[in-house]
Amino acid sequence: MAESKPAQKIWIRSNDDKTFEIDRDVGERSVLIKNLLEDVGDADLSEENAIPIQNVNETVLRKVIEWCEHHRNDPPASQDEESDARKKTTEIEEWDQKFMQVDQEMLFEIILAANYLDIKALLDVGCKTVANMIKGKSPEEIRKTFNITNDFSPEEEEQIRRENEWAEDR
Amino acid sequence: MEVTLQSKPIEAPIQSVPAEVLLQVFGYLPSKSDISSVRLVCRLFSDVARSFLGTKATFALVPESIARLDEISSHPFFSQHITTIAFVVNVFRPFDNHREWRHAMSCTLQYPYGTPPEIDHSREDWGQSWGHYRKLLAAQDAAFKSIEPSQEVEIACKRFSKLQNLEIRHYDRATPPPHHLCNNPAFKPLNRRHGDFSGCWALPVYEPGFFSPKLTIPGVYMVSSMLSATSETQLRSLRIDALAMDIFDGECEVYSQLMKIAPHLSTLDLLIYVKHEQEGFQGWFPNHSVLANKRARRLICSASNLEDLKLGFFSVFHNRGYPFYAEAKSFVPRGQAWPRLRRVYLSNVEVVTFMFMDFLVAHIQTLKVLELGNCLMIDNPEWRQEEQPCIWSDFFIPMVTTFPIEKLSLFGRFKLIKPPGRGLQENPNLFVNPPTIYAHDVVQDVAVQDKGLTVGRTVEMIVSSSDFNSFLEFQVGGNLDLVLKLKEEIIQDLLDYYVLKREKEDSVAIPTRHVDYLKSYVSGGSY
Repeated sequence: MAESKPAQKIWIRSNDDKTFEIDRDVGERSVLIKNLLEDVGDADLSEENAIPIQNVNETVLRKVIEWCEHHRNDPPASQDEESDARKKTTEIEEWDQKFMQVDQEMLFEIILAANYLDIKALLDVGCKTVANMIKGKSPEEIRKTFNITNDFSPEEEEQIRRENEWAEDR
Repeated sequence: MEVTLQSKPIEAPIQSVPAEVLLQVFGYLPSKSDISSVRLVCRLFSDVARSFLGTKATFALVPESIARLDEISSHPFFSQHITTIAFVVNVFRPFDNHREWRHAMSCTLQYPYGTPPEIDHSREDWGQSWGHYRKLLAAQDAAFKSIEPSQEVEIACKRFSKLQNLEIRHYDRATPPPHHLCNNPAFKPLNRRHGDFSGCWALPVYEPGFFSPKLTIPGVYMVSSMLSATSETQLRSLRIDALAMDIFDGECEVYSQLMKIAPHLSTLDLLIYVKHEQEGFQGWFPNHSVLANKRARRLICSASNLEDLKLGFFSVFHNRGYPFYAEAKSFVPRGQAWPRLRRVYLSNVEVVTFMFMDFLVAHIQTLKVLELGNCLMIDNPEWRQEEQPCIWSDFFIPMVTTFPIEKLSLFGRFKLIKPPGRGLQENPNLFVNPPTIYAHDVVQDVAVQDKGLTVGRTVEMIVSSSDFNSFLEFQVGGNLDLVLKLKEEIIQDLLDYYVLKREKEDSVAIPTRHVDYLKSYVSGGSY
C-alpha cells in the first residue's frame, strides 16, 4: 500500500535550529505534526520551510525521532487504550525499557516532548517508567529519587496523613 | 553529596512536568499505599494525587468518628469527591442477665463455620468473660450517651454534593472494619472479642424489643438522617447488611424513606435478618409467612430501575446449623419484571425451578450475571415428567444453555427437594433431611452429561464454592498456598480433560490426578 511509493520526506526543526529530515510516517507518530501537515500543502514541504518544534531541543528531538522510527509500524492506538491504562499495568517492552535508560533530566525532557508533540504511546512509556521509579517507595525515598524538597510543615504533613485515611476504595 | 543536594535549585526535573502528566504517572501506581506515599512527598504531588484516593467515607457511632465525618464533609475537595457513605452499625447486644448471655454464648460456641470464637469452654472463663462483656457494654453505653449524633450526620451528609451510595455496614472478623475504626478507642470495644459472635449479635438497625431506647434510637435515627440528607433522586445504590425484618413492620419512618428512594436506585443489596422471636416462627424455623413480608416485597418491586439486586436472609439459626429459606417468589414475584436487571444474587432463598425459569425468561434481554448461594431448589413435577432422581444439572444446564447468562456462580450448600416437590410446610420430613448437593456434584454431572456447560463455567463453580475450599484445606492441613496450587492443578486437569473428551467421545470419568481428593470429598460429604 503505502510501501509502493518511496517514503515522502518532511523536515522538522528543533528550537536550537537543527533541522531533521524524516519520513512522513515517522513524523506522523506525532499528532501535532500530523495535524500541521494536514494544513500544509505537499508543495510547501521543504528543508528551508522546516516545521519548527518550539519546545524541543536537538538532543531530545533526536531521541524522540529514534523512538518514532522504531515504532513507525505500530498499529494506531485503539479507542480501548484508555481502559487499558486504567488496568495499571506498568509493563514496558524491552526496547522501550532500554530506550528509557537515560538520566532523569533527559527522561523528563522526553516526557515533556512527547506531551507537546502529542505522541501518546511514548508519553505512556515515559509515565510508566516514572511510575516504576515510585512504586513501593516511602515518601522520603521518592524525594531522594527525584531530588524533591519537602515543602510541608509538620502540621501539613500530619493533615495529609489524616486525609489519606479519609477515603477508602469502594 | 548532602551539601550539593541542599545547595541545588528547588526545581527538580519532575516538578517541571505538567499536572496532567503527573496525573497519568500516578494513575499507573498499583496500590493505595503508593498513592498515600506520593501524597506525602510534596505539596504538588499531594494535590495531584488526591483524585486517586478512594471515594468512600466510613463512620461509626462513636464521637471521634462522627467528628471525623464532619471534618471530611467540610473539606473543599473531599466534600466534592466522596460518593459513598458507609455507616458501621456494629454494636453489642445488651444482655441484661447472665443466663441469657450464656445461652447466646452457647449458641456461638456451636458456630459451625469459620474461626471459632476466642473463648474457653470452661465455666470459669465464662464467668470472667461475662465481666469483660459487661465492661465493654458499659463503654458502649457511655459512648452513645455522649453523642447527639443524628443531626450532625445529617448536616455532614448534606455537604457531600456527589453522594450516590449509602451503605449500612456490619463488620465481623471475616471482613474487618476500616483501619481508622479499628484504632479508635471507642470503637475497639465494640469490635473486639465479642464482635465475632454473630450468634449473640442483635440487629442494630431497628429492634425495639431488644435494645433499650438509647441503643436502638441512634441506629435508626442515623439511617433516617442519612436518608433525609439526600434528595429522593440522588441515591443510586443502597446496601444494608443485616437489616432487621422489623423495619418492615409498623410505622417505621425509615421504611417510608426507603420507599421514596427505591424507584431511583440501580443497586439494592439487602441482607435481611430474621429474629427467632419473630412471630411466625415454628419451633426452630421461621415459616414462609414471616419471610414473605409484603412491605419488603413492595420495596423491592418499586425499585423499578434496578440493575443489580442482591438479596439474602440470615438468622441466628444459620450458625447453629439450621438454615432456612425465604421463597424467591415472595420477593421477585411472577409477573414482575425489572427492565434493566443485569445481575441477581440470591442467598438462602427457596427457588421453585419452573417459576424461576419464568423469572429468567422475563429478564432474558438484560440478565447477565446470576449468583446463587445456599439455596433450596424445589423441582416441579409439571416441568419434568420422568420419575428419575433429580440431579443438579437438570436445573442448571437448561439455565445456562437456554439463557444468555455470562456468569453463573454457585456457592455453598444447596438443597434439592425431589419430585413430587412440596413446600416445607406440607412436608416437614423432607425438609429435615433433604439431599444436600455440593459443588463437586455439579462438576460430575457436567462431566458425565456434558450438556453444553463450558469448562470455564464449571471451574467457576468449583472455585467459588466454599465447601470445595474447606475440603481442600482439610486435606492439606490448612496450608492455604497448597490449596491454591491444588485448585490450579485441578482446574488445569479439568481443562485437559475437556480437550481429551472432545477427541475421545466415549471417555466419561474425570481423569484427574487428584481423583482421590475428589472421591474422598464425596465420601467425606456424608455429613
